[in-house]
Amino acid sequence: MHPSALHYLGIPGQWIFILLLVLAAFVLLRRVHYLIALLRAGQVEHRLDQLRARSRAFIVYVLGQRRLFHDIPSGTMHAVIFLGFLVLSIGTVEMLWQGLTGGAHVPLLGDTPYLLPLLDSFRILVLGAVVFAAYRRLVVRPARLTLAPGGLIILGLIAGLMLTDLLAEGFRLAGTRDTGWWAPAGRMLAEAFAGIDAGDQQAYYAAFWWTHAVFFLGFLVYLPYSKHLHILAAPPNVFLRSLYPKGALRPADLGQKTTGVASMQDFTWKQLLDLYSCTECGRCQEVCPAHLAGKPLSPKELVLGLRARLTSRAKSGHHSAFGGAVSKEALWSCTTCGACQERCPVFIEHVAKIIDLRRGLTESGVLASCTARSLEALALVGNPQHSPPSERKDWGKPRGRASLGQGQPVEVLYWVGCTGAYDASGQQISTAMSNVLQLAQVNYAILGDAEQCCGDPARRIGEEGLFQQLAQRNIETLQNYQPRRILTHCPHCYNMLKNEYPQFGGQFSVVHHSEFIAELIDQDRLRFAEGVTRRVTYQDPCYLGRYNNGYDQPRQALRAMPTLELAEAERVQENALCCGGGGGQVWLEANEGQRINYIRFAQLQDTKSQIIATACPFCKLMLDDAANYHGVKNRVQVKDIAELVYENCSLR
Amino acid sequence: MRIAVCVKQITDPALPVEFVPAQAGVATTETSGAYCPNPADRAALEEAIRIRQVNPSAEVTVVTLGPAESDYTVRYCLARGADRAIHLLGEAPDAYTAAVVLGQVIKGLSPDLVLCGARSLDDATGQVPPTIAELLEIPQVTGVIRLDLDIETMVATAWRRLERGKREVVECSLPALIAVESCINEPRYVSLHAMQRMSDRNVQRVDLLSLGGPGQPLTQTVKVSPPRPRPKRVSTPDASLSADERMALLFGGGQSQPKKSGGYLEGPVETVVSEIMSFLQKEGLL
Repeated sequence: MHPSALHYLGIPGQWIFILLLVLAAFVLLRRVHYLIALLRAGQVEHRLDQLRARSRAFIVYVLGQRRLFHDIPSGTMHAVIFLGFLVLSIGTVEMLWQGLTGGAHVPLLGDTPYLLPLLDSFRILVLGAVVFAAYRRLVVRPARLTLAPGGLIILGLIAGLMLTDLLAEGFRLAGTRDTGWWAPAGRMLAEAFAGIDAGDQQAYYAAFWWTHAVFFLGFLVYLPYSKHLHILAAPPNVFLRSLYPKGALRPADLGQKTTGVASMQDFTWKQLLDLYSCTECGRCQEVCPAHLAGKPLSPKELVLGLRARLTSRAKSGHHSAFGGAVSKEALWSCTTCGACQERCPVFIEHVAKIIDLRRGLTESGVLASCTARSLEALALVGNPQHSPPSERKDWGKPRGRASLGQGQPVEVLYWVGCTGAYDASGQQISTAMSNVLQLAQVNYAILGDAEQCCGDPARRIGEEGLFQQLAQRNIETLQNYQPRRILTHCPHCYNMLKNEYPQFGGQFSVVHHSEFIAELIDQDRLRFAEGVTRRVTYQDPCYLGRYNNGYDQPRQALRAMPTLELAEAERVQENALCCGGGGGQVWLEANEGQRINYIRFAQLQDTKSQIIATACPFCKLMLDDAANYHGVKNRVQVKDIAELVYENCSLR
Repeated sequence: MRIAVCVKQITDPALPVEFVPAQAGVATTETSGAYCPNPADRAALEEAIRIRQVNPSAEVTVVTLGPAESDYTVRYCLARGADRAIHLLGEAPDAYTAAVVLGQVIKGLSPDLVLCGARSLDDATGQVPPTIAELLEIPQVTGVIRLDLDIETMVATAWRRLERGKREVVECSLPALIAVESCINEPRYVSLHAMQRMSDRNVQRVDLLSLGGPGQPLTQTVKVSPPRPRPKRVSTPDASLSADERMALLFGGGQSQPKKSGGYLEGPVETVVSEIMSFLQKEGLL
């Protein structure tokens, strides 16, 4: 007899089951309803376009679990539990059906001999995966995981589910003298229990079946209160992932009274769904440069802090985004390098949230004085260095580089950027690049004092109003000149012009100098001299690499030079560690912890290269500073690829 | 409590300037004018806003004298939190006439406290605040780097910056004029969005001519000239060195010159600290 068909103290088991199920469903649905109501309080955002791309992402990243396999052991473990969850849901449907009907099989599904071996083997596999997971959490203790009861409760529940399921199966088969060849584990247990009295077998069967049912219902109730909410939230979250250009932040609506996020409802519903999706796996924290350097930021803690803030019932109804949940110091520590988002298995958008929160801080004027001064300089003179606009083209003076005359057609407009124009180290890059252009006989021009900061520091610091003003001015200037292509050596300017100006009607063909140099090499417009070989290590700039997939062109340029031998460091390409200069860090004051550039420099130096090459003026500045700090400036040169190309060019 | 703050708009001091003899003054060579509020005046406004944070009943009125472009600064002040602003459109020929016009308007506000920046970065006369105080016949404290107010007794305690790091603490009864140094506080950042959002509602624009125009200046600019170029310093090598070493120093830029014992302390931390302490005590800085 099926346990739910028995009577307990005169009450039919079926009734008890239905009562328990209704109770569990009530608690679950009430919580889910509450969580959805919180989402609905968020701002509007449209995420249902490009259904084909979304479906593809769903298949690859949810069903295929692609991003989990960066860490193969734990990825495999998760994939087993995930698959087990899918497969065993057949068993669960059967269990629910039997409970409701008093033992009847689900039509078509239940008691089909060819399903049972599958279910049986997954019970064993999942059990094994849970043991491995518990071992990792309790013994290995990787730094990215926080040892908290939540994770262990979940593992205990899953293990309990599997064990009770197996034991119930064993006693059922033992009791029915079923041959059960299709359920090998169940059969083995049944044989072990064969000696037990038949009545006891039935009692044990009933006991384990009911424990299994209670574990299952308990799981349902606990799920939306725990990190296992990701079972419900993560699949839609991956489907609704951002398909925006990776490097582009969403524009803030300046028509609103305030910009940015001051309370939880200022986030969009998708940003809030992100919070539910977090599995607390800590992969983001593991790759975060700020966290590595001991700064007060952990992307994981940020998300968890915001989630706690969101789901805790604030009586006033107004959930401030701060109040202990997120510290200002953590927000100002972010370099916006994007490593966390690249690694997150459920596609949480950390950077967008950090910028939204920074916008809120900037709007209320909560800025370090040095940051405020840089922003004021941007507003006054159009560059964060606070240098006179009339001196913008001075770097090119010795070589008589003319600025652009209006209406004059030009093949390439060289966007120099503030660092390239005003900073001594940046000027070396712009000088080298313009020399390369002349050697390759490219018809190019610069804007001179008509150029202003592209707005990247303002936007990343959260000064959206100032950013939009700069962007609009620059778009107007550029539209007047109508260049065929815009060339820039700064990945931040590149990302801005390419991915963010289209938000304000500025559609331009933008090329980074690494791409441009690679093109020139392909077209045989640059030739390189032979000579003594030196080893070079390349630092991937975040805004060229991770945000714009520019991994190959700079390496192609380096490999084209016979005097250079490329040696890769640890953490390259999409996994590259930021130099510490992005996200406005050059103008921020994040003094806690170590310096990211010192750490990165040490990693790059492990290759024993004489040259560290990069393709970003900020990487160059940061790494050069680190070379100074490590006292190896006479042995290791930090150079932009343009400088190396010019030095090695046989045409000059 | 009513607080009046005088804020002047100046040309961004980071920009290069050239002499315009016709105007008997200087002007920036930049094509697009870059203006900002005078730093010390900004600090005065910040101080006023902070006083209002403690005393919510206080009302902060900003008074600006300057041409139409000064609207930028007016908006800045409102976005930073001033309750209202009076913009006197026009220009005064000298510090005295400016003080007269400002004093006239401020008198109409009958403030309990007048806050000014100690001096502007462009003209740097430092005369406007004292003159206003004289015209209003109220006490004045200049060069203030810390200000405490007792609203109950209407007494201000002000820390003045004197030479060689010395400080003077002054008490005075309100109403009074306090001229602050820009280091008195770190003004909060004002976002561009906040400035653009400011409506004109709280701005009162008054043409200087309607007040009878600026009065007769008491001073006259006779001549404006660039500063005498500072002679480039050439370090003299220590006479005790050999001729060879002295030559190396002259041609090598003088980096390797051994340090003289003058004001340079060496030795274990305890000795160095105690010597610094005795120096500070001797100078009356502690």
